[in-house]
Amino acid sequence: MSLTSHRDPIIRVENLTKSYDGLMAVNGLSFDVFENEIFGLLGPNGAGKTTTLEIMETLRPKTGGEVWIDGLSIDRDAARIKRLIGVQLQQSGYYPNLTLTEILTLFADFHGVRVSPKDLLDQVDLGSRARSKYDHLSGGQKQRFSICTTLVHQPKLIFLDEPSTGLDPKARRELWELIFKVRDAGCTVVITTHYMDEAEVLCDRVAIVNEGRRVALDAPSTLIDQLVATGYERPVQMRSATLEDVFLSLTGHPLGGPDV
Amino acid sequence: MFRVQCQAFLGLLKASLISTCRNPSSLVFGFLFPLVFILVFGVMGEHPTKLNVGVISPGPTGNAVMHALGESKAIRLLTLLPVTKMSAELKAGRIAALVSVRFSESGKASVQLITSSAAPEQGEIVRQIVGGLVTKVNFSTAKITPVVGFKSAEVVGRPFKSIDFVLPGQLGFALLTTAVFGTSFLFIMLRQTLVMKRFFTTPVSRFTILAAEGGSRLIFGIFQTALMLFIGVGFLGFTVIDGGITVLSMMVLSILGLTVFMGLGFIIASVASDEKAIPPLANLFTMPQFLLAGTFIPIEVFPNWLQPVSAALPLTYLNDAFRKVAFEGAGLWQVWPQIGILLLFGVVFYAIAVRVFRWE
Repeated sequence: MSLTSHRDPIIRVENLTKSYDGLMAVNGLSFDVFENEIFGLLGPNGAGKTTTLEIMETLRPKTGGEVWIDGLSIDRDAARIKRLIGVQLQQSGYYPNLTLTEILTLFADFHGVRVSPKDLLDQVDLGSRARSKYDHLSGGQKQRFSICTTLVHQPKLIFLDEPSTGLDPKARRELWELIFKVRDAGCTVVITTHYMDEAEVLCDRVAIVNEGRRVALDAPSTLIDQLVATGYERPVQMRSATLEDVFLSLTGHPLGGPDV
Repeated sequence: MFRVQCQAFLGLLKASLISTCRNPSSLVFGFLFPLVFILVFGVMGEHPTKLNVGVISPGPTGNAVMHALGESKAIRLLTLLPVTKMSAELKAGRIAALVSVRFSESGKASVQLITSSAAPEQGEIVRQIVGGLVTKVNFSTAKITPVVGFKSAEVVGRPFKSIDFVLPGQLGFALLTTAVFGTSFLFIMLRQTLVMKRFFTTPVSRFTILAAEGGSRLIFGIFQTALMLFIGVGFLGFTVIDGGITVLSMMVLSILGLTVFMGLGFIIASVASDEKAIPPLANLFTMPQFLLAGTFIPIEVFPNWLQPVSAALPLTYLNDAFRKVAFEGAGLWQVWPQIGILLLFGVVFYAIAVRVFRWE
């Protein structure tokens, strides 16, 4: 995975702060996200990941600092930013009693565009579920559909908040393949996750956040190299396969796409 | 931007209507229940209530008193029941009076009437009627000219059928339920499942969301009104005096009522913490109107101390306006007091809703 520092930043976050009743959820956070990269925002629960995402998504006001999306300020240009971004929320539902096709049409209407729901669903391997209700989908299908809804207006940038939480390993791989596909189509992806193996596979660069502060920002392999250079060694010798490999070989999903 | 909001409005309006039509409870409460109530209560009360009078002994065939009683519009004569059975019914108040006509051998007639303390008012009415008849027969037989003349006249009117009372009440109540329950459940659900938050990541504006959801409920309500009027007029003999104008006026009133009651729905959606809190809160507002706003029972029959409660319920004025328009042929400008009070309720509801409304 190439270093991306020569590209233009599509997101600039400078010294961002957010306090809830005096409690600093985000405390002087700065980072850039470059065009067409997959950028991971990592950190333990309560580190301020979701807050940071929601500020960038124009859903939540910030306390201090600056955020620009594609050169637009989130303070002044929220309406224009909404046209550039696609947002998948953690655990959000969809309008009740509608089929997948109808939900996609609704989102297209919200963006003032016309789409072919069938084509969009085909892109995320849900073409056969066009007339299903969201509630009847499996966990992996739900997440793929959620990503699909973010794509109706061909955004420059999508935000995915813990899209793989609760998915089985097979569904997770399918989700990764979809995220790569979206990136390859020219979209920038900002993702949060608790799974480091996932971040390692997916992300071109990651920012690690702890207690509202950035503690690292670089490509995963660089961060690993830096840790190894300090003389760190994994305490347990790994076997040449993991239980996840067993699961995947038995459930028959080829490890195509990402080079794990 | 305006074009986008228009497309968003139409898109959400359509989605909301599809969703409502696929929701079993909105169909059951919106269409089925009101129709069943109309059918049951409309057909049940179809025969005007006559007073039952048991005949113990009719006297000779064709005697003047029995004949006059048989002609009376207020009395139904029961001739076929055994005396013991009739006595029991009289004591239970199901028969207003027992009558017997006897002729002595000299040809003198005597009419005997027995009433019951179980139904004193009914008994009194029968006593007046029978007493009047006996006096009349006495005068005419004795060829006496009465000192006081008596004349009564009847104006030509429309028969007020029970459906004419039941349908407007049911219509008003159905619209109330649609507006209050539909709005509150929907907005709580959209808030709790983060659907609303997901909407806010798109360019759709809050005003567009409110307008589309409100519009969808108005359209649904207009269909409720149309269906109930169709069934009422087509099959149950519901009176719409001026035809198309009356129907149109009722549509306008429906839209007004729905809009006002939706304000109540918005308040409940904001005050309730989750879906479970809605039914008790919503019923707190709707149940009194079901009972006291002239939905089933005319307000006039309530005791004086209950009258102010009825007068404080918005549905009272919608029901009242519906009945005046449908049966009396009143134009919208003639029910302006009702419309004005409804609008006043609307102003109060929306003033509160604006203060307490929660989007997230």
